[in-house]
Amino acid sequence: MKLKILTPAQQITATEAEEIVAYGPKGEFGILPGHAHFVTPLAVGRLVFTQAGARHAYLVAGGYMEVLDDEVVVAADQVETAKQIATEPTRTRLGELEKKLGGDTLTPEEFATLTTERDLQQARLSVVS
Amino acid sequence: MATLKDIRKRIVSVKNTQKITKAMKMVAAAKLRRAQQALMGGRPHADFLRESLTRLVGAADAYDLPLLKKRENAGKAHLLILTSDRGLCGGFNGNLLRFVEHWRSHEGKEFSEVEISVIGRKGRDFYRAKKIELDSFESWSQEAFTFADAQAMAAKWQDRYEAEEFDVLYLGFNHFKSAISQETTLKTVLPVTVEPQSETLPGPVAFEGDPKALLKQLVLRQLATEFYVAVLESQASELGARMSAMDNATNNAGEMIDSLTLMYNRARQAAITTELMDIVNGAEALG
Repeated sequence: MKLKILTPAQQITATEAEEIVAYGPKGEFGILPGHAHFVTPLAVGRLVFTQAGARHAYLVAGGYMEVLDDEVVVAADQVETAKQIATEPTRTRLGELEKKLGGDTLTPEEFATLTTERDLQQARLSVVS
Repeated sequence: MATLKDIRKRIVSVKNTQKITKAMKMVAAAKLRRAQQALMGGRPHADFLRESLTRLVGAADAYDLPLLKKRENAGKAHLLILTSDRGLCGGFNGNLLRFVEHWRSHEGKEFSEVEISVIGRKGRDFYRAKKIELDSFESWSQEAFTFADAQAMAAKWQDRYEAEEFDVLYLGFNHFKSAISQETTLKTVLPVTVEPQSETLPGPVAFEGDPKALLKQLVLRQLATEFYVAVLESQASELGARMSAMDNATNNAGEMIDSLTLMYNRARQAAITTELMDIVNGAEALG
C-alpha cells in the first residue's frame, strides 16, 4: 500500500509500505493492506512503517490519518525523522522534566504543560531507540 | 543653470539610491525564492485536506455542522485584510485596499454591517487616513509564520464566529500568480466551504471516536490551512511586488544617471568653451 506523510509546510515522504503502526487517541494501532476506509486523529507518538523488511520510524504529533483504497495519508502538525532527534539532549531534558513533575508545588496548568512536553520527549526517544 | 558641482552631487546621490534599490531587489529576490518554496511545499497538504474533507463530510452527511452551514439572512460581514508592514513594494497594498474598498461600496452593500480587521501596518495607515475605525489591528511578527500561528488564528476567528459577532468572514489578500504578478482576492473563509461530494466511496467510513467531533477538528484544520496558505501567498506576493518595484527603481535611477551625466558633460563643455573664448578674446585685445 501507499503511504504519504504530509505536514502543512511540506511533504515528508511518499512511499510504499507493508505495515504501518501509529498512535491514535486510544493507543497504538496497525494498518495492513486491504484495510477498510478509516479516519482517526493522531496523538503524539511514534509512527513506524516497514518497507521491504526495513523499518522506518518518525515522530508524529497532532493531525489525522485517512486510510482509503490502500492509500494511507498522514496529515500531521509536526513530523520529525529519527535523524533530526538528538538522543542525549532529549534524554537529559526528559530527566529534568521528570524531576520537576516529581515536585509537589505545581499548579494544574504547569502540570499539564510539563506532562505534554514529557510525552513528546518520550515519544522522541521511542523513535530513536 | 545648475553648476558643475551641483550636478556632480546629484549624480552621486542618485547612484547611492540606485545601490540601495539594487540591494533591496536582491534581498527580495532571495527571500522570494524561499517564500515560493514554502508555498509549493504546502500544496500537497492543502490539496489532500480539501479532498479528504469533501469525502468525509459527504460520507457522514455532516453539512449541517455549525462551521459549514451558511447562516440565513446573513447581515454582518467581517473583512480580514492581509497587508504588509513595510512599504516600497509597488502596488501591493494599494491594489488590495482599493479592491476591498470597491467591494465594500458594491457587493458589501448587501450586508447591514461590514467590519474590518487588518494585519499589517500599511493597511492600518490606509484606514486611519480615511478615518475608518478598525475592529482589530495586528502587525506581523518578525518570526516566520507557522502552522501553529495559523491554528491560533483559526481558533480565535472560530470563537468570534460562534459568538455570532459576524455571519460571514472574508479574507482579503494578494494571491501569488508569479514573481511579477499578484491577484487581489477576497475569499469567504467562514463558514467553511465544502464542495458537494462527487466520488463514490467503496464502503462506509469507520471514524475513530465521534464522527462529528472529528469532523469539527478537520474543519478547523481546513480553516487554519486557509489562513496559513493565504499568509504564505501574501508574503510571496509582497516579495515579488517589492522585487519588481525595486527593479524598476534601479532602472529609473540608471536612466536618471545617464541624463544627468549628459547634462554634466554639456555643462563642462560649455564651461571650457567660455574659458577658451575669454582667453582668445584677451589675446586679441592685447595684440
